[in-house]
Order: sequence, then C-alpha cells, then structure tokens
Amino acid sequence: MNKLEDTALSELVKAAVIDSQTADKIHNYYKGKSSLHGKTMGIVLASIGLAMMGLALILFVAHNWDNLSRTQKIILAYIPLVLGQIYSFFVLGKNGNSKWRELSSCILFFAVGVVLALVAQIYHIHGNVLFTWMVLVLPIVYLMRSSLCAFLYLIGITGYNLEEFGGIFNVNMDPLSRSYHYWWMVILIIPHFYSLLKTRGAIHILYWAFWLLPLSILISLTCIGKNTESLLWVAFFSLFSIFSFVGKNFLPNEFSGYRNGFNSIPIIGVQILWLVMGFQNYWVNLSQKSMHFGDILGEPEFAFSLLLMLLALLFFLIDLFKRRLTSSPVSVSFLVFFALYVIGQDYFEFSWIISNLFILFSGVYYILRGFHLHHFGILNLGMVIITSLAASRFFDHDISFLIRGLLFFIAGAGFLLSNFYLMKRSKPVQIQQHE
Amino acid sequence: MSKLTKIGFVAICVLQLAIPARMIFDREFLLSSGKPYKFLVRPMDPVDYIKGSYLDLSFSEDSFNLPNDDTWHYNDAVFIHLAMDSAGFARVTDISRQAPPDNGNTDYVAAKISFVYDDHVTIKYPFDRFYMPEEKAQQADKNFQSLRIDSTKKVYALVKIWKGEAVLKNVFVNAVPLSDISSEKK
Repeated sequence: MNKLEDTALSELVKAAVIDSQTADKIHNYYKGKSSLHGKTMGIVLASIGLAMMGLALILFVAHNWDNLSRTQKIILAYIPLVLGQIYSFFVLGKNGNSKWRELSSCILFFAVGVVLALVAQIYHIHGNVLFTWMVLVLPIVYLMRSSLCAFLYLIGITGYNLEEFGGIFNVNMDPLSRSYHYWWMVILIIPHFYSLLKTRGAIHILYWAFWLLPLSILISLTCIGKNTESLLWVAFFSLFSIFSFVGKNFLPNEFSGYRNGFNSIPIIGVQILWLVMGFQNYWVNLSQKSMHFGDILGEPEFAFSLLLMLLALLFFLIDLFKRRLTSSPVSVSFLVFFALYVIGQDYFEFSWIISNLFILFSGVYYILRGFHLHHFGILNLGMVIITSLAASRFFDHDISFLIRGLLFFIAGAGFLLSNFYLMKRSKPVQIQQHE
Repeated sequence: MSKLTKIGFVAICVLQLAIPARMIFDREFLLSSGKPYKFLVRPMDPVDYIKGSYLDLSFSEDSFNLPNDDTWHYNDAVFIHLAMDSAGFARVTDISRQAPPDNGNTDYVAAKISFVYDDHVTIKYPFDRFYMPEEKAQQADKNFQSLRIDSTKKVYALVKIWKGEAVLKNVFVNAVPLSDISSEKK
C-alpha cells in the first residue's frame, strides 16, 4: 500500500467514516496483496534476468565458436542442461517453495532450448527445433508445477505454429501439407492452468495466461485458412462464443473486465468480425463462389469450423437449459452468422443487411446494459459499436452524403447524451453516500 | 518429492539428454560413413545468402523435368536419386515418392518439393543452411559478391549421404573451405 492510500485511510478515520480497526484491516489486506504481487513479479524478473544471462553465455561462447572442435562445442552445449537438471532435481528433492521451483524450471526450459539450438547449428540442421524443445519441456510444467514454464511453453507453441504455417493468414503455404501438432500441445497445457485456478496459485501469472491462452488459440486458428477461407469465419464466431462461455462459467469473479481475456477478446473480436461482415464485399464474394459440399469436406477449415461450432452449440445449450443465458450478442453470434452464411450463398443482399442490423442491435444492447448496470464502460462500448458502424458505412459510395452525415450526427449526439444521462443518474447515489 | 515424481523427473531428464544425443549420433554416423557428394552452389543475388549467421544455400541442381505428370504438389515428400557428373558434382537422375530399393546401386536423399511449374519441379534439400560465426558470415557475404562475377571459382557444398539421410559437412570455394576464405579480409 502506498503513502497516498495511507493518507486517504487516515483522512477517513479522522472524518469518522471508518473506525481505526477497519482502517488497520484495510491496510493489512492491501499490504499482503502487494507483497504477493511483489513476490510473483520478483520471480518473473529473476527468470527474465536468468534467461538473458543464459543468452549472454551463448553469445560469449559463439565469439570463439569457430576455433573449438565439434566435441568441445557439444560439451559446451550440454553444460547448461546438465546443470539445470541437477539444480531442478535438488529443488524438487528439497520440496523447495514455488519461487525456487519457478526459477529452476525456467533455467531448465532455456537449457533444453540451448542444447537443441546449438546441436542444430553444429550440424547445420534445418528443421523446426521449437517443436522438440516444447515437447521436452512440457513434462517439466507438471513435475515442477511451474506456471512460468507453462507461460513460456504457451509462447513457444504459438511461435512453433506460426513458423510451421509461415505466419498469420499463411499466404504462401499449403495448410494441407502442414502439421497440426499445436492443437494437442495446447490442450495438454490447459489442465495446469485449471489446477492453478482450483488451488488459487500464481494468480498474477494467471492474469497473463488468461489473455495469452485465448490469443494463442485465436492466432493459431488464423493459420489454417487457405482454399475456403470464408468458412473459417464460422470457426472464429464459434471460438469467440466458446471463449465467452469459458470466461463466464469457469473463471472466478476476480478475473473480470480487462483481467480476463476470455471475456474481453470475444467482445472485441465479435464486433470486429461483424464490422467486416457489414461491408458488401464479403457477401458478394461468397455468393460468387459456388461451394459444393463434396469439395469442402476434406478442407481443414471445414473440420475446424464444424468441431468448434458443435462445441459452441453444446455450451449454448448448456447455458440455455441452466437458464444462465444472458443473451449477449457474443454468445448468439455464431448461430446468427451461420444462418446468414447459408442464406448468403444465394441471397447476399439479405445477409448483408441483416449483418448491419445485427451490429446496430449489439450497439443498442450494450448501451441499454450500460444504463441498467450504471456502467460507463459498457455504455461507451455500445456507442463505439454504433459509431464504428456509421464510420464503416462512410466508405459505401452508394449511400448519399446527407444520410452519412445524419448517421454521424446521430452517433455523436448519442455519445454525448447517453453519457450525460448516465452521469446525471449516478450523481444522487454519490451524494447519498456522502450524506 | 514422491517416488513417482522422482521417477518421472529422472525419465524426462534422460529424454532431454538422449534426444539431442541421438541427433548428434545420427549426424556423426553420416559424417563418418556417408558417401560424399559435391553440390554446386548457384550464384544468386548476394543479399539472399545471409540470414542472420547462416548462409542460405541455393543449388544448381535443384530442379527436375517430369513431362506428362501433374501429380506433384508443393511440399510433397520425395526421394532425389543422385549420380556424379564428369566433374565430380552431384546430378539429379530421377525423383520418386518411394525410396529406391536398398541394393546400394542408387544414391538418394530425402527432400521436399518447393515449387511446381508446368513439367518442372523445384527441390528443397534438407541441407540448405550453413551456419557460420557472425563476423565470418558478413565477410562471406562480401566475398560472394566478387565470386558471382568470377566464373573460374566454383562454390560447392560437401554433403555426406547415406540411405536417404544427408548432412552438410562444409562449403568450399575451389577446394578451400569458405570459412578460411572468410577469415581473410579482402
């Protein structure tokens, strides 16, 4: 707790808003929280420091690398790995606390990478070292119960997948000839994060992981598109619906708002997808491509879209039966889009118009929800959606300047009035609290 | 630490040691027992050679004509049948999807198809990277610029081949290792 917050507490005690006992309790609570945060940050910083030192060691060796014999090079490559293993075994045997476990696993993580990279360099091996590296460090995550290692693993497998497919929206690669190892590799790391949630451990790493995990899956899904990319949009909408379900049902309340990528990414992602759908081009292209079921059956986009859609549907039905469904635009988007996708093959104008109406509906939904919850963030999200809709229609040449101007005026006025109205509604509550 | 964790940890440590060791053993075996082949390195724009601290090699013998056959696709795994020309450099004699019979008559290397155009397929060999220390790689880059216009100098990669496996041993300029040339400042 900082000095400013201490001063605020003593002010509240002086003004008899809270008693000194409550002030002490608040002080102790935040003190404990900040020390926990400090510990985790310390581990993260120490590990980054160690990783940098390890890399520096490789660079020192590389300086005179060419003068060494192959045997000398191999011995040097193995040293960090053997030392890392001995150290980790020692920590594991002593049942060391989480700080030491995180540190030793982090050393081992990089040591495995070092030996593989150096062997590949010594023998001029041109292959994906990242895959072998990640497979060899995955058991360390579970044996050492290391969250930092899990976090690094997640970054590693995402990098591996991007390398395998030649980047996001692989333009030159044929996805059919590529491997799909990423998907089982990401599934294998999920139990670790789930057990962390259950035991409430390494909470600060979890904040980061619950952003990185959905981002990693999202990035990797973009890699598979090639021949029937339009079909992949069904997979994206379904994935966002699944994320939203996971965010609402599996993660505790403290992972709310910006702390929870499973909630934030779908809200942003779905709106971006709908805004793209708001342009006529997508639907025109879709109607011009005559797709036959037999042709798309063997495509990876079809398999991924079908699987994700079935999963999203299952979660949707679970929510429906348990009557937990909040009917947010995110959770129903995949169904709406799929219907429009099927209809759009023959009647593209219908799908295009409904897409725009759905964006409008989403905007209005968030504005009303913002009003209902007295939440400026949700209210302004709704306003941003409507403004984005107006802005994207600005590029449509067949809409007159007058109508476009009117749309902007309505969006701008809506921004001002809704915020003003909510501020006005919130004021009496604050006054009452002071009184 | 439970007994199971201890066994698991030791097992994974053994794997972490064994997998790079296997990579080393396989390459060492190839270097000692493989048949040497010299692959002529194709002169190309020098900026394409250097990528970090390795040379990106492109070989003269990297394409093959397959008339009346449109069944080949990008990234297909193939076996390249090899022979030596009169000057002792590697020459592609055939391409197949199955490994040739193991009777010792045909030398071959596993590769992939990187491009298909009409009847031509372009081959991507698994030994197209040559790692060098950074300073030498920069010097090699400069040397390659002059080598491009000097037709008397032949640049080639010495590759050891055994039953489809290959390992790049060194890159030479007229029988002198490239790293030796690169250490001499021009």
